[in-house]
Amino acid sequence: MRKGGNCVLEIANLWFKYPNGDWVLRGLDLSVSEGEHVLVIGETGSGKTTLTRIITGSANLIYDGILKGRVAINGISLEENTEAFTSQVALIGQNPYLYFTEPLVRHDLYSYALSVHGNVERAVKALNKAIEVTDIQDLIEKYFFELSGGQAKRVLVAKALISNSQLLLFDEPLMWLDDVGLKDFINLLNILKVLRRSVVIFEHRFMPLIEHVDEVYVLKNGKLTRISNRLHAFKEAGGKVHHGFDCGPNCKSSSNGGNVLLETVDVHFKYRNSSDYVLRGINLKLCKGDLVLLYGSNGQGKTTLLKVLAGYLKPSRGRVTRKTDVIYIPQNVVLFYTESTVEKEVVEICKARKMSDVHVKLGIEAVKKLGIDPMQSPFNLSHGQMVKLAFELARTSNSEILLLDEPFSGLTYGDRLELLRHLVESNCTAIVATSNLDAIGSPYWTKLYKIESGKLVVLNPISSPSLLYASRLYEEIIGVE
Amino acid sequence: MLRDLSYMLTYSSRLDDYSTLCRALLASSTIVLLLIIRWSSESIAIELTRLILVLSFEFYLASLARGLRGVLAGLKLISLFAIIGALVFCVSYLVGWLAPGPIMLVPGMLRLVSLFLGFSLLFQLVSFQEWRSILSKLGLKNQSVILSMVLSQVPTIIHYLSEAITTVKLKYKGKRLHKVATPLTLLSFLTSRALTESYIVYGLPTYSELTTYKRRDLSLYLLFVILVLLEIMISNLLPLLIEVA
Repeated sequence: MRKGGNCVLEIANLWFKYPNGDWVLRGLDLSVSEGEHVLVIGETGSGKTTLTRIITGSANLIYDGILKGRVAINGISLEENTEAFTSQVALIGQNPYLYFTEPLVRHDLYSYALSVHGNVERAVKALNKAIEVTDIQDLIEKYFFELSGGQAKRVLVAKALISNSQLLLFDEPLMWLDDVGLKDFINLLNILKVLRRSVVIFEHRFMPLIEHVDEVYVLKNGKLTRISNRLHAFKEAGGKVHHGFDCGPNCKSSSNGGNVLLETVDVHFKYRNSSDYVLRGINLKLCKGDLVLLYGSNGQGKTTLLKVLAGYLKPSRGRVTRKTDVIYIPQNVVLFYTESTVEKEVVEICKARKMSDVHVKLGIEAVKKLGIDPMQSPFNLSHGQMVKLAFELARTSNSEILLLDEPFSGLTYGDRLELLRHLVESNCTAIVATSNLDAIGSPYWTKLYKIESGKLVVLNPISSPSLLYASRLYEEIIGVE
Repeated sequence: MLRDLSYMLTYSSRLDDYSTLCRALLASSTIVLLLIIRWSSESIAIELTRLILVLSFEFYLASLARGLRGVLAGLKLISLFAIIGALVFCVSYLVGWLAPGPIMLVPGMLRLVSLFLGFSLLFQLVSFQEWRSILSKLGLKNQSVILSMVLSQVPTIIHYLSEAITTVKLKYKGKRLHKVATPLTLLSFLTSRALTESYIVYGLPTYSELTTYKRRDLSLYLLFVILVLLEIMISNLLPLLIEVA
């Protein structure tokens, strides 16, 4: 906590475990003062989400966990008065679309303002102020499912401001955000700083945020360790991180000389009700062994292009030639899994392609090599493991082309690098769509493209070691006890 | 197609000029009218004529909310079901299975489309907030909250469904599409848990003020009265005309 500020959040010697589980948090301490912005980083499963659940009061109310120690906001203890405690905090979760109770943004905000302030006049006043501060005038007449991830998070911050919550929690705020959304989010942090709202951010992708927070902590072994000084020292020693690229001419064809597995010629695509083309003149040649990065902001046509390449959507104009099977792994990787065990996943994917038992056995062996028990449910795996397993299943099925939509979302830098290495070692042919620049600096890509307003352009990366750098930084700091 | 469908289940603020009572009454009366037609029409010709009239009225109401293009786009998916149903009907007739004959096809398809449109009007014409208030006034406060929790997530679920279909179709080479049910069921559990957490933080949704009369209501009431009168005329006069002919 910074000196001189009023303490907004106070956590002292906090222990927590879920029913029938081990202690997730073990004597955790944290103080956040008025207007202070704190970033908490940690591995998957380190307890970040559990900590947000405790601060919002849901750990006790929904999960029936066992809690020891003191948690208080503005002096109100969680144990003494849960209702008053929870009214002091606002949560902006990973999936912002779950926080809307009305389809129309204006109705949702008004309904919330009315429930907080009691009468129409005060509700309208608070609503107008929140809309003005967060600059969401252009969003309020939209349905929430029309908003991008970044826009939905901006609306939720407006919702938090309506209630005068002193403490705002962001659980993985950069998940699903493209680089434009990232800028929006940083602007929001600056607004909250001016309004002197305390903020706690839980995030894997910490590099873009460390300049914009007051303190950085690592959550490890159930405890928080302050690393702000160490982080700055490491950064100074390691030099600057930069993301750089320039765009070449419109891509006509690119080949590494191998067998061409997929080729598109002048592909245009528009949805039936729309007059605008989502894809315009896409020319792409994918050769065996190519590892292609497709970068673009949200709404530029990445997912549509993947679906056209997969054959799920038919191009309105132009031609797509596929010489092999294609597997699509969606952003929400849970949707890829359909069986109760990993072993059944292998069996079913082979059965659909009339493959022999030998292939099934090889597939199960490959899964074991990943350190995954074939008898466990795929739904119990971590996000990173789920994506890796999906690669492996695709390889087992002899599908030569993998199409991955935002596979890095929600992964630590180390996990991202490991995933990439796994792709390279698997000798896959893959197209990876991403909306974040930090993967561009990886040395593994054989081709890089940017998709902008439906057009594909070749990216020529200048030295951009962000992912490697962040990964090394993360290993360094996460190793600190 | 699925995205268009999600718009069919959401209220449009274009209808704020009409009172809640008028919108709720007309949306529910249209469904009642459809049920009456189903059970009271003496012949297919009469039912067909009456269905076309109600369908036109439904189109008019829906286009007030969405515009005609939006309504037609939203009806694509349900039309697909109607066409599939028609094909099954034709095959059954050709192979001699129990089928009422091709002449029954048209009213069957119209019934499906008009009923779907009728039910979608309940949500296009009346907002979730208004439904919550109506249900709580009827003593169904808890049910109203559950209903709005479920309905608020319909567009998200439709998006997941579209993603799951793409994924599973490619994974199993176009077969076993029914397997999308597994990940979608799991996602429903995860979503409901996350929703409960969000309700703890942001509280339960509020109730809106219900309006009973606005000037523009008269035009809709008048139109509905004309529709009912036409329905009565057709059900009484058309049999006589058929008999004479």
